[in-house]
Amino acid sequence: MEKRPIKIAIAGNPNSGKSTIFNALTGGNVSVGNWPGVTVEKCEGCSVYQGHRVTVVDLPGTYTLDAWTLDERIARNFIVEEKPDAVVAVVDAANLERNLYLVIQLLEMGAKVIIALNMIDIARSRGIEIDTDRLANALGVKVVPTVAARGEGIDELRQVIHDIGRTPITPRPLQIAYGEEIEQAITRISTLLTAKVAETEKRWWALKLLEGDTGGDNFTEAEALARTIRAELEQRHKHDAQSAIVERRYGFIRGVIRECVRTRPGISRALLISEAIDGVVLNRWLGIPIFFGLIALTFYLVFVLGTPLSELIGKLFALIGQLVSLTLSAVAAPEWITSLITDGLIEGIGTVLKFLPNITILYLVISLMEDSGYMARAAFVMDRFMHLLGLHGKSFIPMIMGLGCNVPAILATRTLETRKDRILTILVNPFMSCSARLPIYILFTSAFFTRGRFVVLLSLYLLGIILAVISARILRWVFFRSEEAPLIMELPPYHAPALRTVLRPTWFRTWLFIRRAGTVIAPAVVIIWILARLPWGVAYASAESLLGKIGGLFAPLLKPAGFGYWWAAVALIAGVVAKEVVVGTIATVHSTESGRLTEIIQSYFTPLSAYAFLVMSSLYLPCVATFAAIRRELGWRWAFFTAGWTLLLGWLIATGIYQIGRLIL
Amino acid sequence: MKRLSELDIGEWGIVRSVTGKATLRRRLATMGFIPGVAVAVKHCAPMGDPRAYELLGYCLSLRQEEADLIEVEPLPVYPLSTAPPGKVKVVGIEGARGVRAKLAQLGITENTSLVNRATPAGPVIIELSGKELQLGRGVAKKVKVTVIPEENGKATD
Repeated sequence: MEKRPIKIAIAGNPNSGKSTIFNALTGGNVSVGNWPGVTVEKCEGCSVYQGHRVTVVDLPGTYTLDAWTLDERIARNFIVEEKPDAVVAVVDAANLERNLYLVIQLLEMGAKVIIALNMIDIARSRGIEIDTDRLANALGVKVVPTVAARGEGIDELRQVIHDIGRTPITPRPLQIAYGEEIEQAITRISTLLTAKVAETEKRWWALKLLEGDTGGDNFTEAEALARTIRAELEQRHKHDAQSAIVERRYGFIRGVIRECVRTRPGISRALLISEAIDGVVLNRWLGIPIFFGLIALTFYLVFVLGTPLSELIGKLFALIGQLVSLTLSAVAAPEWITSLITDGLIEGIGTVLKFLPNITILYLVISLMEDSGYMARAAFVMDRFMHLLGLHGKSFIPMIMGLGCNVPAILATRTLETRKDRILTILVNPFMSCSARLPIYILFTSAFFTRGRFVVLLSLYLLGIILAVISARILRWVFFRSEEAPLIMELPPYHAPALRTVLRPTWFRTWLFIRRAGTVIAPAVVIIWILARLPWGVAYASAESLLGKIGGLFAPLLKPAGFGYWWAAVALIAGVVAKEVVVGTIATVHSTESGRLTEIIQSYFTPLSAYAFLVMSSLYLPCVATFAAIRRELGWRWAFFTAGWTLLLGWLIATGIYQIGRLIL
Repeated sequence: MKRLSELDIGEWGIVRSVTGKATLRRRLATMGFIPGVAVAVKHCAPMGDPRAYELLGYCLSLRQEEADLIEVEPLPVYPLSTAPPGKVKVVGIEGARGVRAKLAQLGITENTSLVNRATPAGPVIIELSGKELQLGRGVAKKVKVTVIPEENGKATD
């Protein structure tokens, strides 16, 4: 028997447990990163069932397929263009009515839909009984009840995917009666679509155009007709075609629900608890203090819990360095090899990996906030504030994620509805101090600001946020002087975060950090080591070395900011590869154990120039990965714009602080 | 007829119409704001804007700007002692902590839906999670309920 590979897509509303189903089906065998809550990258996983390869694509969570947000367009285009063998629609059983709206659209498209009726336990606890057989009959699809968080129903779902995915029969698209006038409009538009789309897809395309979506160059004629018809209907009824279509769909859903759902009066405990929490967290007076309290707590944990652990790792690397150099001298290895391995590799990588505990804790807390449902509340509470600052409440989530890493944060902006908001949120994101900058902060604050350390750290984060806000205001004023997108955002019920769904992304992000230490930071450190050695014969990492020459070229530019040292320039240049490299470079150049690094920088910097250096390294240039993410999302122009803007502001502010500080102190 | 933005926290209303730009109207419609749907105001952010609403059994936030576009018919609120018979939803409880705690023990809090037997005199008899309960008239007076139409909305022709 031929074993044809099956390709399926997973669609569903945000918060329907889509990612959990995806993880359960693929067993975590995923090829692209999956950022929790915001599965905006196209994640592909793979599993084998009864000898068949099953490729599973996780579509972005959407409420509809209107092509309103980028997420919706990604999901829609995938189903239209790639025609997966089956689409698993993950439906929140406790929230059936709104969730079915997406399912209806999938059925109208003619997709082979399988419904995973997820969180059926929660629905039951709320007194909602769903007759799955009737639901399956009413919609003409297979329905599998699941509790993905506990793995219930997953085997059955696999079997159904296997059965449906292999049958070559494509279902007839669902036809909802939209009433005489709209039906006539559909027929008129359909005739223009002949030979452009398949016969079975004509109705769906006609509907979409009538709803006001654009279909590309192929459809200009039909689109124009749709526009005319919409205007006609609007004039005749004062009621627009688009809303009428949505209402008809909901009307159909209500009919289905009447048939298959029984609700007992009562209320579930879980929902009561969730509302009680919201009563406090969304309180008029407590909301903002609680939010800032949580952020403060996060950073307190990062430093207080993380620092002892990171010192332990530092000692471990020092020990490894000693052991290696002892072994190498025992086998009489040439001096330069010993130098490369101990001064270069072990020092460089060790200095960076030392910060692993701090970074893991930060990621853990961010994942907890996302998974528990607090992130949406934070956006809700902060919306007015963000509005004043010229940003959207939803921009807030990418901004907070930026504190972890700017790259997933930039991807997370895809949930924003307008391009303007997206561009603004992306452009100001590099000002959010990512965790890779932490090593620099920790090194310098422990050397210079032992007493006021927390205040100095906080000031760096705040400075970044303030600049983000000012930049957003300026950019909005210069480029996009128009109204903001609405804040139409679901506040999902809280749930106790599942260990797996929190730990997986935490581990994944931490692993990326470790891998970067091997793939990006190690080569960077080796290149720096080589440049520090050349030309042959100069003293290692002296001002006469190639490295010294390059640094010396830029050093004068940094002099007004108080740190015109050639190696400071080199560290900043190398930091563009990844911000962690700044510290690694300083360690490599001075070829010293990280323990003594403190003394060395103390001999070069004053507290004032150290602060200026911190400001500069916090603000200047996004790292290469961030730059690439901006380019991919917005193109070269905006990527270079961000680079220039951050470099300019970083230099101006560092210089300003140093010069003004010198006058005062 | 009121605008959704004018309802107070805890109040329920039935959506009658949505105005504004076509794209926004469509967006609101897909999230459930269509004529006939019952909406309640749940929470209010600091500075009074945005607010969170309950509809179709879930919670959604809107800015006042958007809520201004939605016209609703506020639902009348009755004390449980004189409420019409059938399924009602608790929207508020008046009175001291003690009363609230006692009612909570019985499973009656804000947002509980229950069936009212509407006895003309004597204790008020209700049905909750399949069980029959008796409440004194004095206590029942403090429980404010509203009737949410079973048929949430209708298709417009």
